[in-house]
Amino acid sequence: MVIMVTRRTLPNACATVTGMSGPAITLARLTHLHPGGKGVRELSLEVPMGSIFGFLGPNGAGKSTTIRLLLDFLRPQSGAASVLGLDPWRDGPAVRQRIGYLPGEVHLPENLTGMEFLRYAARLRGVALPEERLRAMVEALDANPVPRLKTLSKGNKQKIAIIHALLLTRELVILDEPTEGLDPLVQQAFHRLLAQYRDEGGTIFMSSHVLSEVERLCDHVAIIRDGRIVEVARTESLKANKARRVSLVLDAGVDRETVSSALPDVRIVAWEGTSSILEITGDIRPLLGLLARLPVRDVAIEPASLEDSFLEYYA
Amino acid sequence: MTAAVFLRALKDRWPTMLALAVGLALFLGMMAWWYPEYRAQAEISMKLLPSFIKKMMGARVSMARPEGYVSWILIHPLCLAMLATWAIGVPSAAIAGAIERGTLAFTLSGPITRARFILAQVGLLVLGQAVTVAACVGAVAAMFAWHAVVLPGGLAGWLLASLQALLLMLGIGGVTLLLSAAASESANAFRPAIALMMMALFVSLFGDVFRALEPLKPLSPFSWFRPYEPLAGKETAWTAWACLAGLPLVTMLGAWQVFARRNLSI
Repeated sequence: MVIMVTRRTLPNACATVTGMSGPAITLARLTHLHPGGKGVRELSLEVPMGSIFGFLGPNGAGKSTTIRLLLDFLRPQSGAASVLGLDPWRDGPAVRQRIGYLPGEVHLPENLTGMEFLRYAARLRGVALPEERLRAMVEALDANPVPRLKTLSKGNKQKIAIIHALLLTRELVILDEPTEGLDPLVQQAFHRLLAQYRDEGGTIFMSSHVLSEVERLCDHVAIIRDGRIVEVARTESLKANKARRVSLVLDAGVDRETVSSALPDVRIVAWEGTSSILEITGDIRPLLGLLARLPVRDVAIEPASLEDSFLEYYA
Repeated sequence: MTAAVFLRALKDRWPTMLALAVGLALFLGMMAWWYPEYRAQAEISMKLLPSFIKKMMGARVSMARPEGYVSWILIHPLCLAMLATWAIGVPSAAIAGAIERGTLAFTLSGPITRARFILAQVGLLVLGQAVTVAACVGAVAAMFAWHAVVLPGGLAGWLLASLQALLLMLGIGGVTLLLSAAASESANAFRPAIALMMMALFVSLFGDVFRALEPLKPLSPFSWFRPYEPLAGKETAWTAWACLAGLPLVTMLGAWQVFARRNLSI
């Protein structure tokens, strides 16, 4: 199959480079198909500056392909992109000078120590190693950059790779499955580092399988399926549109019709004697009004989760 | 950036480079040490050799002559194996090996172009090959000087012979770099490179024995490798120089183009 390369330049997706308010990343109908037919098709996306952007999808959906396109490891067959206002293929080195990257599978040069590796990364960028910032990150993640990398466990190598991604750039960091191999305590420290990076004006674009992590961290979420974006939204608005589950226990049985007629937007999932499970979308106040009139012994309202949205697209 | 990648690669590989240089100097120094004894018996030993070997060895220049002896020991299997360890090992590990190890993603996620990355690898290839060839030729020249064996080409002859050896090995290195630029596993670079080198050597050696192979001889860079000419004070044809220099140039440019254009699933 011959695919015509029809790349085009984005019309000033970002007007200025530093301190700009436009999107950090813009993808416009980006297509790259691997020989087997997998890849990304007509991908369009905007990652707001100063956000933590979650990129969700199962294995093989096209997350890593998208990231590789942004880093100029892969070239598009059609479409355009802008990263920090620059073309990631034509201006590849200038773009990569300003972004940090954590690959999905971390393979560090085994014969180096963590410090040697970080110094090498700094030399490659032509910058001095920010010692103070490094010390803070090493402390936050409880990392050890002194031994040779080949002697470190997977989790400890991951810590060095995270430091490498966040240390040398302040504008944009691209993370592919960043918390693989990290224990829960280090994950929390890592989340704090990401929040700090964002608070300092940086943008984070991360792919993840861990929905709770994305839900907790990300301001925006895109869901990719079979190489196409199926949903892009603010995390909160995505959750607001999802049903919340209400578990209800009453002191005495109530007619099912009483509930369904009073709350037409409520779906009754189960109704057995004094126990019932309901699902409610949107405004919860009518439900609370009804509950005030019923002999309620116990009630539990589960918040809507990102998982519900995710599963809706994949179930 | 290029310097950072070059220095990093050099730091990784200098022990190998040093070991090869020492090994080559010892082996070729030892071979050159025995040259006066060999020369004394050369006529008798040549008579004992089978005719096809005599044809191979005497086709261009007699091994009894010092320049012939130097030419032969430079493509002695052990010498060739050690020189090719660098010429094939370094380029195959540089790109395909780095993809296989998974370390290329970290380097290329920095602000370096693929052209500069290749340039750093070429720099390492040239430096290491220059050191190993210098160790070979230097050891032989030192032993010949010790035995007061004088070659008509003098110092210029030794330098030009070294340059030919360097270009020959860079040609092999260039072919490997080209294969490495297209591959994702080092074995897919070094295996065909070794096979091609052996075929080229075979064609060059047996082209003088088997008439059927003769038309293939110009395709082998070993056929253009004629260090006995400058060592004897004779001029090497420009076509030979062009072929020796052209192979590394073309293959390295090809490696750059292939690597710059390929999609990397790293």
